[in-house]
Amino acid sequence: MPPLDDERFADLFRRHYPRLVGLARRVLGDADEAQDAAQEALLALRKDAVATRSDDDVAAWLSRVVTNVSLNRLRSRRRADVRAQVVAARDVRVLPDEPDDEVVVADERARVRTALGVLPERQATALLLRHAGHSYREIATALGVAEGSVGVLLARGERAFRRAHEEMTR
Amino acid sequence: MMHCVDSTALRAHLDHTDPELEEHLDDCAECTALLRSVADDTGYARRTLALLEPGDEAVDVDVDAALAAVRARIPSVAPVASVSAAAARRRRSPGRRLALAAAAVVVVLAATVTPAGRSAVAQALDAFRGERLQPVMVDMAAWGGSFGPEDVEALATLGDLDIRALNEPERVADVATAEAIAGIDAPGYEGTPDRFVALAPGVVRLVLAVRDGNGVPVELDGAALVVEVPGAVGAIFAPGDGPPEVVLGRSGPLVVRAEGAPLEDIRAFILSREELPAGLRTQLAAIDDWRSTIPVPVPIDGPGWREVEVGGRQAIVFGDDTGLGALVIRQDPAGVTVVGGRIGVSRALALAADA
Repeated sequence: MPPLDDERFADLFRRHYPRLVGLARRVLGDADEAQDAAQEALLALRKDAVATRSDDDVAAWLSRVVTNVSLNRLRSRRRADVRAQVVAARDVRVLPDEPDDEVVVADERARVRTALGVLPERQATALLLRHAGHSYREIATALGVAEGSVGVLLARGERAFRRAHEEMTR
Repeated sequence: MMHCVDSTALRAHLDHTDPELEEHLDDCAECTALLRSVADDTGYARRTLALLEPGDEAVDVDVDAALAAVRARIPSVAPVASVSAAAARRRRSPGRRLALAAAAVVVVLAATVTPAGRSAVAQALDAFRGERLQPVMVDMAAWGGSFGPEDVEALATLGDLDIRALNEPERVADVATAEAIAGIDAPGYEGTPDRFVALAPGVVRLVLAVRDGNGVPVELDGAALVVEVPGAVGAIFAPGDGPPEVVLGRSGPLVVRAEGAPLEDIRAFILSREELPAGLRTQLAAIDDWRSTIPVPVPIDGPGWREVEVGGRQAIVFGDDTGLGALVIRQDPAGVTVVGGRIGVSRALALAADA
């Protein structure tokens, strides 16, 4: 298909970029990396047929792609300990209040992200989107599943997430 | 009267109250207990995920600056090699073997791309040997739009490609014949495969040559990359003529040698080529152990994947919980084992564990 024309791309970029950065930041914790993930998702949109579909479809597709990109980056961090430490250090810097609390919160956030990273991608995406306020319909569109299947993904995902997270906090 | 429901319906009920189910819960202790368990998990996830940074409101972004940065990454004209790519397009027809060979070369070239001078130790071993896997994220849509077979062949125009010693897979009667052709043992399997395929080991040789506009530096003129394509065996379960239900395959180690110039210099040159998508190039450049790491392309908008251990060995599994299909790639001490098909992830992992 022909690439998205520049005017439409710019329009979509301006409308979705802040939201996508927010979604990515929930997964990644790092604002700069979140911007990279959002840009990667929007660049992917330029070549995808979904760009010609409705705004709702485009929004849902972007939500899924930015979440996938972010989860993939999250998993890649496990192979790059040094880089992960840098990101954790950034987390600490942006948190307010007492240093001890900051470290505890940063550690806890790291555990949450690690637990998310071990879930099957659809489950992790469903969880992240739902707990970021997306409707079942939006999640279904994003994942390309029937609306009735969202409950399955959430139920399984929440159970798996709890197990993984509890395992890490023991 | 409503019957008992599973956790899926109860999870949805937490978000969208179903009056009929609510009535049922009044009289059903079993469903009520299950609801408590589901609600417990949901509450746990909600509380825990709330620890993550808030979304939209907390992110201060300069959208116009980001848009400008992204626009700068969008290629507005054809890549550098497009002149030769046009010629390559015209020559493409004999192409299946050539394209396969060129693709193999490009994958290996990509595998060897990192910044020059990274490792002094690596100077001692001027070869690549695949010993571990590393996923690299690939934007398939962008790849398809900006990096096609023409670009693969354009890269092949960097020199003279000799594929005379490259073999093609062949269908064989039994596993013993397949193993004899490939020179390796077949993966383990249960049942009787419907057919076997085998690939004999081969060699592809790319000799770089300075030619009009192809960008090969003088110091690399005549240098060669020699790709030792490993033998491979495949056991295929495909009743009838339809697509396979399950495929189990194994190949020997992939080895690449440089002749006439350091492998690192050839890699640095390949890194500079604009035919490679920028995002892929960046990830390849970040691979530390590039002399022994096989990059495995992972579509950013494709099926889920994760890194796992299978029988104590590193593996990557593709697929999700839909059961529509799954693929496991496992790194072995001397090669790679692949299991895939129209099966679920658990089944694929179980087969890979026994393979």
